[in-house]
Amino acid sequence: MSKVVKKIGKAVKKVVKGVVKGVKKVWKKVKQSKFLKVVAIAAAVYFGGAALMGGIGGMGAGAGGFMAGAKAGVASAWGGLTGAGTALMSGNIAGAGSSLASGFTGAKAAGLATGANALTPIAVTATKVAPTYAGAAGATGAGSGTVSGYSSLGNAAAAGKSAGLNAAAPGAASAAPTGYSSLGNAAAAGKSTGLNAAAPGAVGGSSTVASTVAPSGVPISTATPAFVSPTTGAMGANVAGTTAGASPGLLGRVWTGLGPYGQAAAVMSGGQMLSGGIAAYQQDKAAREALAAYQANMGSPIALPVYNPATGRYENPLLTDGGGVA
Amino acid sequence: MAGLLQDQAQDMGGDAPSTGSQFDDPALEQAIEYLGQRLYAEDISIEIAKVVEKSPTPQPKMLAEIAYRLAESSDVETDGDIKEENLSIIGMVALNEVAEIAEQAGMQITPADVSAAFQEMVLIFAREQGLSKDEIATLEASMRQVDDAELAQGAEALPDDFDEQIPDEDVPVGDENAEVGAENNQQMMRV
Repeated sequence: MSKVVKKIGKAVKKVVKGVVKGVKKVWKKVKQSKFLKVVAIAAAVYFGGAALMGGIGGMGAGAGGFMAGAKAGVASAWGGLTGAGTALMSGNIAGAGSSLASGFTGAKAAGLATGANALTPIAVTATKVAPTYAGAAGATGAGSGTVSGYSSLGNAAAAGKSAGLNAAAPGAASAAPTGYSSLGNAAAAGKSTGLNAAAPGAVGGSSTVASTVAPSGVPISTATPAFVSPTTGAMGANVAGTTAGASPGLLGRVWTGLGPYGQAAAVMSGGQMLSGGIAAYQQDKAAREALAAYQANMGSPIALPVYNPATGRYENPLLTDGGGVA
Repeated sequence: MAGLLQDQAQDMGGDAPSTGSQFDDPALEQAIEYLGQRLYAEDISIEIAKVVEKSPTPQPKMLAEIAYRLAESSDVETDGDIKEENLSIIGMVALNEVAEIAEQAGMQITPADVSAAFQEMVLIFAREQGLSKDEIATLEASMRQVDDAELAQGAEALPDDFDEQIPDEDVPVGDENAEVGAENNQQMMRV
């Protein structure tokens, strides 16, 4: 197996975890280099290790410091990212989704939770609702009543009638809840309330509603998602028909996607980049030298050579043949 | 073009830079030696200087790209045996060297530019690890809240013995079980 595959497959999490220790090791060399202190501290901050270092010697403490609103945010972002990376690689997709969600929520919250923008998290808990049903007790007794009308669109169905997209089968004639709305609109008889109203309880019972609402007002679903996108982390129905466990993981997606030529390019891109820069430098240097030589020989001012993309040469616009220098 | 590695080579009176066995990771030490060799024995430092001398204004992204690729090639040279927890070290060393080379080549580079360059290296790393655009955007937005100039100023004010105050701990991220799973998965993919 290629050694490069092994490199790219290294877990993000481990890299992040070791940053503070790495900074500690590198710091022993700071006397020898002008930029090493900055590089080391940047590594600590941008990999989320600043908190572990006690705010880095007190730097950025208090409002207005350079890390205000960012220290916890970066750490939270990495926490979510690295958790997702390792979870994806181990096939723990549900875990990946939840860690992504907590990570990014944490990052945003941490970024906001400082200074004048501080937010106070709001926890909203709906109260228990004891449904009140109209009519006499059902013949089938407590708990045996059936939902006779159910509409997923929130419109209460008429008692005793099946209606709506997900209509339940009408039950026996009993005093059952006559309407149920999944969108939170209280049915005429069911009286279910709340954003995520629980299904009406048995006749004579009570319905417990416990909805948790995030500060943004978006309900948080605690149920295990059927599918988590390995790319976006979005949770929801598995519309693509792809099982979560079929994800090839970070390593597979990155490396396989490159293909053999891409893999080689990934290894060589640094050299290519440098080579390109050097070639440009040499071209420019040759043009300058040619100009200097020409001026020395002719003893008269000449126009500056202009790069001609058509020929790939620096040319003198005053010369008919351009006098190009490759 | 004297950076940290070149200084060490001169101090030791040798041609090949060496950091000694200070990192408790032979592969990392090998990678750093390779980095120094490429920069100073193969004269890549001069080539870098030729490239950057044409840009008197700071180019953090360019510095980050050069440093990242140098670090990457050094890791590859060691067959990827550098411990993951030490990968950031090779990145730090590479950027430090590239920044010093750039400065000596005439680029008006400041410590704040170096901080910005490391930020770019982190983003390159995140992209190459396959993180999604949304994930990278979130990470980038968090990092952008840091003022590089203030970071640099604060870093330079720290004492040389600041390492004694740094705890010998891992950055707490994720749970250990997931890590074990990832290790196993990588082992399977190597087969």
